[in-house]
Amino acid sequence: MKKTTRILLLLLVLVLTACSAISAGEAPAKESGQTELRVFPIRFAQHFTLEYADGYKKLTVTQPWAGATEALTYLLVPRGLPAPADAGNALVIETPVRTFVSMSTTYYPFLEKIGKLDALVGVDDATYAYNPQVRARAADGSLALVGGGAGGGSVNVEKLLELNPDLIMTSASGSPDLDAHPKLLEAGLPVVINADYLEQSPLGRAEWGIFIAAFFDLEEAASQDFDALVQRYEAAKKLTQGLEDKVSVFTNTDYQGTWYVPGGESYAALLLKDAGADYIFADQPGYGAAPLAFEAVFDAAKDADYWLNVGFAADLDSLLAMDARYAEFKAFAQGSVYNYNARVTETGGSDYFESGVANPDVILKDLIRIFYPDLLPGYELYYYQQLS
Amino acid sequence: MRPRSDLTPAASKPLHKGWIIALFVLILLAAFVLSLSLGSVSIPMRQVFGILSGKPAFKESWKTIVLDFRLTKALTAVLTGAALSVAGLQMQTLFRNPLADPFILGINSGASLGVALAVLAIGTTGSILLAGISTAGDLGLALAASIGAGLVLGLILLVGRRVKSPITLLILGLMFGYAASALTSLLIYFSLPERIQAYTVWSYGSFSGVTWSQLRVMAPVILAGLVLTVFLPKPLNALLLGEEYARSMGVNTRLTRVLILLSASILAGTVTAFCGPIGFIGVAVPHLCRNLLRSADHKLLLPAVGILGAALALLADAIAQLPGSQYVLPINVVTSLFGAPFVVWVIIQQRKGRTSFSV
Amino acid sequence: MTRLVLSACDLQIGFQPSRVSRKVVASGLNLDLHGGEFVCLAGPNGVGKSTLLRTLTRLQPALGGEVRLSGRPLREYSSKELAGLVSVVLTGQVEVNAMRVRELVGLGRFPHTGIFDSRSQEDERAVENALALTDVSQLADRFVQELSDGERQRVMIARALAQEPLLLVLDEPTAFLDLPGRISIMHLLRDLARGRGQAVLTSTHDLDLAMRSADRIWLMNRGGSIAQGSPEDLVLSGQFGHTFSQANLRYNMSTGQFEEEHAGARPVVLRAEGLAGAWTAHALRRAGFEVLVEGAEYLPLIEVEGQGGANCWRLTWQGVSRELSSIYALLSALLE
Repeated sequence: MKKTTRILLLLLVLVLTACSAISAGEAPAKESGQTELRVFPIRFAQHFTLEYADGYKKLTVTQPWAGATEALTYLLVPRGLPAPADAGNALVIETPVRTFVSMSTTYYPFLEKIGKLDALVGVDDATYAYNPQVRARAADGSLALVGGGAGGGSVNVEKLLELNPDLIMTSASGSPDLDAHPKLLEAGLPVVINADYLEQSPLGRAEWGIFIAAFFDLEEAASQDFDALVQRYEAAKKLTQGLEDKVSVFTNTDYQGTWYVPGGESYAALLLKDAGADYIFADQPGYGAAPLAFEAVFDAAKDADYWLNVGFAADLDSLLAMDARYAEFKAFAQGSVYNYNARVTETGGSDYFESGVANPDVILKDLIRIFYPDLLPGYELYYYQQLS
Repeated sequence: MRPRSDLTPAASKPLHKGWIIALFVLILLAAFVLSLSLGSVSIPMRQVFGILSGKPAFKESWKTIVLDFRLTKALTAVLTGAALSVAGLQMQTLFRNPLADPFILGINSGASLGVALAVLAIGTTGSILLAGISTAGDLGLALAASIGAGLVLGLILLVGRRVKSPITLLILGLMFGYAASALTSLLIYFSLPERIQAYTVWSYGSFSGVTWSQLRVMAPVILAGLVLTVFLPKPLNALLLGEEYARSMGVNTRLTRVLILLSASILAGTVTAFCGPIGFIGVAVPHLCRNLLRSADHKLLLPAVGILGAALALLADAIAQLPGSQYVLPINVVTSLFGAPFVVWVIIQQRKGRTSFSV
Repeated sequence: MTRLVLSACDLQIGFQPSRVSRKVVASGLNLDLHGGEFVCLAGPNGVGKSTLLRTLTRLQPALGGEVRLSGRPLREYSSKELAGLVSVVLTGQVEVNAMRVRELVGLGRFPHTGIFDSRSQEDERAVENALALTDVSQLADRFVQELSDGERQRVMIARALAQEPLLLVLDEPTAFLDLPGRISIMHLLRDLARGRGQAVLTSTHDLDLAMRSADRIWLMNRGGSIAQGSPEDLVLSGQFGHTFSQANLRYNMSTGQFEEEHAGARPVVLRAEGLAGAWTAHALRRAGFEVLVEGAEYLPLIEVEGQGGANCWRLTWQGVSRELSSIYALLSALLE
């Protein structure tokens, strides 16, 4: 083969590979149901669906991780009943689940809301947990520590086999060396992937409580709970509609000259928008964090009214110690700096990242209270505190 | 068997070294001006000069940007480029190894370990983390890195005085480096994603994170390290023939070794402490200078690599700032992406002539 | 042969890597070297020649005894003083790039320049002198890596000379050179000693050249002792042969060659004279024959008849007489 032909062929292969990699980022289409399915109404969450068939429930996670090409299906079959014939690739889980192992702290509040926190028999790691009951049970040994979560090293398969839980719930990244679930599935354990972190809409993320509740046959109760949540959220949001003078806000901090700025469609940005604030970087595309130059952020945000989510800083002095140039921001000079570390444990557990996911209405009210205190007189900040 | 030399072409005349050094200085000045004028925010050059000479600016934010962001960044780049190049040259001569870089003795790994301990190992709240770091002010991270680098340096010096051959020292240094890296990996393994991100960003390297108060510590230390090298051109030249010849010429090789290690470690360690690990400059600039100056004389090379290194660091930073756009690239990406092919090109060009230019 | 430059008294050389382990290479050495002398250190491989040279130049410590340089004990000199008195050329090639010849030779001035290596007129003069003595002046502006091996060695010697030492010590300087290169280096060293009064000490494997050029030889043998003397004295006293003899290698004192001893060498009778005769004998011995002048009838008889330029060999054996036109043909015939 001539040299140029070979090069062209190689280029063609590279281009095709790139194309398929790009298209992998799109969520796959939902499969059309063969049997008669009644759909459970899911209003905000985009990454899971719940359907009822004769004698079982079908739970589909449409995009288990960023860039996944295939959906994951779980068939929830009542204990004692046979599994459906056309199960295919779906994993069958017996319901209601009695024992539960959680690989993420965000599931605890949902369990607590449906009164099933006692069903928890194991967690990945208790260091970053906020929930006092979880921490107490981890300390006295009634809760097994199995690893495998974000900060806990690799998963202890043997311990899990010994524990033999009815359900293990975890999130996944899609790369085999970081994920725990492939090993667990191989060992025959019932593992379910929860993709709540992919949801950018605050209500969408909270709606995953229904996903968890479904395994306990408590989705109706969870749904009602969720409806009440939505009402509270919308009511708060309404307060800020039609405001003339909007406050401006920016978030995060500089890391050695690079400032990672959340995109306009990110979870953080949507909350700010619903709180009626003008997010300085609302026109940054997408939901990822863009690496911007410190001077660019300075130029755009130096006159912003509020500065939120300042990483690990506990007070203004330590924030200033990280970089003296923060003093040039109007928000800093006025002391209008807030962080979501009002509820943290000594070992680094943050409730904002734990129950905050389940209570977006509280976060929203926190934000409204910060930006427009007159709209919520008498309300006290829950997750946020002002830096002094 | 080599051919007799009267068969090869006539010798080239020694170039006027003075002109080339002057050229380097010019490039440095140009790069400095460029670095101040380019960035995410477009500021006209006239305004830049105006601000530097104390005149009020058109926009108040421009004054802050030029003085607190760009000027500090440019000065950091100059110090870093000079420090890394000088340290790299010393390492290449001491170990007679063209691939030696300033971090070959594991200083970098020690600094990384220090930073990893500070950022990752704190299992407690952010407040405790900051309390530890904020007592040292914004020097906290730099302090952590320096302690790590210093520990490795101490080990090296302890061992370096007794070890006979430089190769043994090199291998020991590599081993210390590996050990430190392994510990760092262990820390990363058990850490939260946000903290890992903070550590990872540190490891990308950056000149923009350095503020005036940090410069007040960084600059004198680096200048001290550079001053140490004033006494080194003669022994370094002797070392080109190897330690035994150097000794036979009366050079105190033990003392020289200690001085070189001290100077190179201070230079490399300080840079890593304040800017994160910056790769490639320390290896490439000595080669570039040797090629361009066609000389191995350290009386000439030491100042030359300092000046050229500073200029190239400024240029690399200017590119990393992606002028015109808001985004910014990590420095290490730029130095490697642009630097490696450039040096390859220079060496190939020179090879077309008669001489080959490894160390 | 004037003043005493170097002397060793009851010297013991070797290695002491730790307090407990000690390897003695040679002991009880008593040596002397004078100005203007060219001394060659010879001996079988591994006997410790390098160790001796390194001990004498203080590149490694002596295990016992004393070395004196210009009357003072070696250990009393500071590094710098010593460098001004002794310079070395070590074995092996030095890889130096981007350095011109004049620069490399200039390195030799280090013991005489200050901390910043500033050069004076005297320094320049010493460098030019060294270049001229080693006949490399015309190469002064060339890069060292472009030179041939022989030229490079001359440059290294020039560097050592630029140091203006009392004693020049070389360790196997001709190891990797071709024959003309080796000859030229040995002659250079001899001329430096004889013509310039420089004391020169070199170790070498080149016995032949050493015998031809050296004023004295230090013969080092496996027992760890050294015999000093002029080359011829060492031959006649049998020490040369004794040092180098091996299982079946014998030193022939008349020819100055090493010869193999064959137990089963076939005798032949050679009747010839002159150059042709000598070289025919050389060939016969090389082929493993024992050459006799007189012998029994049944032995092969070789007669050489030279007719001014063209020689002819007559082989008479087993009743047959043949005429052959070359030594090669002669040997082929004998070995059939």
